[in-house]
Amino acid sequence: MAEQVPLTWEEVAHTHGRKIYNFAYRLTGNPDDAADLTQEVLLRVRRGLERYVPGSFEGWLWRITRNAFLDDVRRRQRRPTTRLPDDLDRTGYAVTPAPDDVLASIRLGEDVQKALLALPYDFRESVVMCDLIGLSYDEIAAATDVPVGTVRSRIHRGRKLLREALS
Amino acid sequence: MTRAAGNHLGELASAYLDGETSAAESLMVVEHLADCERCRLEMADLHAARSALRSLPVLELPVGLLAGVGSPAEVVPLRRRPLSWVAAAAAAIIVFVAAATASAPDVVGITLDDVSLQYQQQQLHDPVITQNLGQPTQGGTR
Repeated sequence: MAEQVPLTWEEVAHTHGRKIYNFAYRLTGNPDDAADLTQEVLLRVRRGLERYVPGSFEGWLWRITRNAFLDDVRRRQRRPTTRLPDDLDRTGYAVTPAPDDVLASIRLGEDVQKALLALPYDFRESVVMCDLIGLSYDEIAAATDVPVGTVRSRIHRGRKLLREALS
Repeated sequence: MTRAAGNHLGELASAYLDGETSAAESLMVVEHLADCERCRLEMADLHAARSALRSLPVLELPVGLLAGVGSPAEVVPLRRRPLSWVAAAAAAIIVFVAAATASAPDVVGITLDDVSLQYQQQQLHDPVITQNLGQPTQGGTR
């Protein structure tokens, strides 16, 4: 079956913008960096759509996203930090008084985010692509340019480290 | 087929959770789990880690983000950088002159105030500088 490919960057933004932003946020742990990265990715999509050859659109899009992120890291000459946003309001979490279960959920989310940011980059990337973005192993392999077996290994080891950090 | 860790499932466990195993691998996993307490516990741990990740809240795109991408004049960063090239050039001139006056104050004969005044006068009469100061730089993607 032919793959449905968005024709314009606006369609890409509509269908994938939120995923790209969440991917960027989970990798950086910073809403401003995530917003800048998302803009950069969509800009590259806008420039690159004319040259897009129908195939694995997900692989193409996430390779762009990953490369934009790595370019940004190189530009800053530092690895993503483990900091969490100072202002929870900017993350989309509620800042108004919330029930205990909601607060507990937020705390759990912060713990998970911290554990995620502590993972080696390759593990974090694969785990986020799999568990938060919902990509298949084949799509992750295409996006990260490694064999599927490597993706398996990274996801497995990433989850084990996460589990250890959270227990 | 993915290698297992010794006599245990290893990476196959995560792949099985994700539905990324072949039919033969899936059968092997099921048969192994029936007899291996250690792998059952590891499978439960992996499942818990995956559930924790999936429970993270989905964040909405910041307002105004897409407008920057769609503008004809390239992307407009949400966080504008405070220094335009004009200000950066002025800062460089001031630093250079400050260094010169510090090393040979009697020879140079001008002060930082002179440079600042000269720069302000130039700014008032230079349409390019005036335009750039009045309209923050929109170029580049960082």
